[in-house]
Amino acid sequence: MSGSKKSPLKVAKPSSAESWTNPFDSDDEGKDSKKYSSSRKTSSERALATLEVNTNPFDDDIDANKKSSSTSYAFQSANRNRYKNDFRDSGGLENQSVQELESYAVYKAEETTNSVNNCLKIAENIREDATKTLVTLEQQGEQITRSHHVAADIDHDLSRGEKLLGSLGGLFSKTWKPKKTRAITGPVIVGDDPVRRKDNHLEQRDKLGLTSAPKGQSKLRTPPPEPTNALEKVEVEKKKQDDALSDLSDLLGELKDMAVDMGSEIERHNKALNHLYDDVDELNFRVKGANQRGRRLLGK
Amino acid sequence: MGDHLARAEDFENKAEKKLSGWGLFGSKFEDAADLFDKSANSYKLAKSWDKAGSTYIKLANCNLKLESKHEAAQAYVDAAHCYKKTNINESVSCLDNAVNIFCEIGRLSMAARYLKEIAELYESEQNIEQAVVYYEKSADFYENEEVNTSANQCKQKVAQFSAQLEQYQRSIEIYEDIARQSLSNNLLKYGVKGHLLNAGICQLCKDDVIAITNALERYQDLDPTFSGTREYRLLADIAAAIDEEDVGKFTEVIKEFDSMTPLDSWKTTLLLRVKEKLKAKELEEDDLT
Repeated sequence: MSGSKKSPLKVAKPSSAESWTNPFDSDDEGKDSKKYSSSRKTSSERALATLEVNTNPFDDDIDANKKSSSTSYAFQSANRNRYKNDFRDSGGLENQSVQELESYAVYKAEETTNSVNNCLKIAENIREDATKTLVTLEQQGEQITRSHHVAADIDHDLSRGEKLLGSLGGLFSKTWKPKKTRAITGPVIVGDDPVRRKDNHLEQRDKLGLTSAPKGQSKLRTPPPEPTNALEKVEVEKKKQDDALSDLSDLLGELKDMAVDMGSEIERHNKALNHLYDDVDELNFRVKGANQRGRRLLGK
Repeated sequence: MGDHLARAEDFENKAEKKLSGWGLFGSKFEDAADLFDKSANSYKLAKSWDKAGSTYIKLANCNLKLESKHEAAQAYVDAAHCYKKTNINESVSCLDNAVNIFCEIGRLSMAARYLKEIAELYESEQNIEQAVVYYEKSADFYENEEVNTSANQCKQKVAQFSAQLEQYQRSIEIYEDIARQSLSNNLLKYGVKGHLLNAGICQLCKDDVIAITNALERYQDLDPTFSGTREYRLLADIAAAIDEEDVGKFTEVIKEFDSMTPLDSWKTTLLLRVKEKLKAKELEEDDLT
């Protein structure tokens, strides 16, 4: 995969703004300015083409002369540009030599490999972000449960407070009973809580012979032999594409599972928050009642 | 700004007067605490952080006299947050006091939170050894309170810094333990291969090919899907490169992995250590021949 070649820098066509000349300029000035702008452009292009920034700390001992398999088929940028517009400038596909078409096939194969690799890279990034999101969701779930436990503790303390408020008051005062509309339930585990099931599903699949381990072992890829002609080169690229697409397929399957797990966890959170809301609402009602009783006692 | 400073000093002087005067049933401490609180807030508005911090400490002492331990701990935390901007050591000291009080009154989750904050302060000061100590304490407290995700976050920090301090075995144990825990949780199971990769990189740093091979087999038993991942392939290929003492292959393998999933600075640092050892071996071989 690492051997795949990046497409070269496109030589930018002069924009309409550049080719436009001021009607009030003298001819000489126009020529001079054109000459200046074009020379400036080519020097910057040269700089871009030669500039190779080495940011990888592991690069120092890779032999500069040692090229990867794909670089042995280096093309001139002019040829590449012809490939980009499918030989429209040079009489179409049917007017090309066999050699030219072979080179074109290799170029297209490399381009496809690059595209597939980019897709894989994007999927990897998504997977990484999704993993972080799932960890955050797990943390959020724990926080909801803890908050609910605290609400249950408040209920316990409030009950003691209500007892004390009930026993206060004069000898002839009416006994006060706190109003309760419903009992405080505390955190409720919704359903069978599949997220926290303890039996290892993977182990069971393994015993059934459904594990993906053998598939994984077959993925230990041996590098193909150095290609000698265009056909072999295309085959190598196809092999790379197959490997990348296989990885991409696995990744997308995993992303789907992650999305499902995210959905079910958020649903669980919603239900837990509904229960929490009901309990907090009940606590609020009872605190108001206790405050009212306290004010009455102080008013006497 | 000057206005806030003047008000702060005024409140502080009044509070000091209250404390030195007479008061019924400890009411002088209550009044002083109220004034110290106002003074500290004014100092904060005047951006006089050191003075604000010292005033919060006075407030904490008043609250301790009043047996209001929770308020005292909170005052120490406020003091720490003020000192954070000017004096890290004072900040740590205040947070330590707050943690002790929270432990006394049984608020262990609060204690864990501030232990983690102390660890973060040490981390920002590049004092890795102390950061490890406090992250470990924090993880322990979180675990006692069954706040597992926060405990795991702190443990991961411990593992990360332990590896930097070349305590690889400790790091490996933590990562493997987290991976084992994560496997039984539908949300955390997706992070398992990341933890196993980290453990594997620490194994590579130990420079024992047999141990690496055994570890990879163990990880396959732990998670049957691991052998099909790019992470497993990376570790296996690096192990092979180390066995063959081939620096070129080592570099190629890492470059290929990095082209798809960029390596973070921690992994890069450890892999560079492995590479240096490999290079040294290669040079030794050359010297012998």
